[in-house]
Amino acid sequence: MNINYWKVLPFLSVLLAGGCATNEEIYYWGEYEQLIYDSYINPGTADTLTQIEKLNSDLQEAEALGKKVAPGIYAHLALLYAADGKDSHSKQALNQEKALYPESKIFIDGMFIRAAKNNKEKQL
Amino acid sequence: MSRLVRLFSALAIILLLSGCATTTPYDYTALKNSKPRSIVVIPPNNNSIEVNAPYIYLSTLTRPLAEKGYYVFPVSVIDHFLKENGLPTPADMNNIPLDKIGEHIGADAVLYISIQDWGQKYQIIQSTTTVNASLRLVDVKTGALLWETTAIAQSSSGDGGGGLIGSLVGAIATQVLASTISDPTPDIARQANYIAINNEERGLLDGPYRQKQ
Repeated sequence: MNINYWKVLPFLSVLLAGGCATNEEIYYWGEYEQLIYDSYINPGTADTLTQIEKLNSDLQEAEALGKKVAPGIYAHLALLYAADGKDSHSKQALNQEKALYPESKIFIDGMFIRAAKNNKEKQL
Repeated sequence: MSRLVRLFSALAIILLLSGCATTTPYDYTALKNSKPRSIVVIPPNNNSIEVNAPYIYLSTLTRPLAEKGYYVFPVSVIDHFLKENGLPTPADMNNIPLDKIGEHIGADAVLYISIQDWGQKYQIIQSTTTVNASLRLVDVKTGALLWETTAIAQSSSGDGGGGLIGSLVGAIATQVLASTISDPTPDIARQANYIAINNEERGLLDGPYRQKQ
């Protein structure tokens, strides 16, 4: 049997190119999904401060690699800061989520409004 | 030359098999009309006997959907938000009216999930880990079904060698290890998600953050 390499080549390169197109990830993910898992399944290994520390080191790593911070990471961090009583950090992280991803605007603005309302009720 | 022939016939068989598995191309009309930018993943309904399945599965979905180019709302933050608003369980959360999701979360599309089967089964000489979930992406404004798929994957382990006795011991050992040290289900779920979301004929279309080169 005689195989014509030139006929097969485009076929192979399509397969290869198909592989390349999906392999490159847009974001650096670090520990985010593992922390979500742990916070539900092994909560003892993912307390608030541990999560804050790991996510912050992921943010540094993403910057070092020149990768965009993935959707949800700043908002998740904001929830952790709020749980730790660090309101200004929390607010800053929410604003970063909104700046990176305008799709989150309605949800995050709603969180700001509810937080302001809660603070008012506390003062009364 | 005969090696090359074998290589290509193997390749052809793989292509044929994958061709058989994907029946007809998905009808993307609704998805193309809707062009969602953002997806909120509602914590899954559970039809399996593994009580932890919904939140294990929830932890594996952000990455493949975001890498497909969509803004994925922070799953854990959304779960907290829904719980604080009087919806303690995934079953409750799956009943929120779409207009409320639009008003308070602002998502373009909502992903509803139903877990059909989850976890490890011990089958005499090996243990099998299964993940099987059906996913439905729905337009928040119109309620139209945009895309649906089944994420399914299975892995077998426990072939410890040494005949039947070795296999029995091997299977039990993997089961014990899995339940106490490392849970194999997230990795199986990730494989299932990757195949379902990136399938060429029936996968999800690219979102706005995955721009064609």
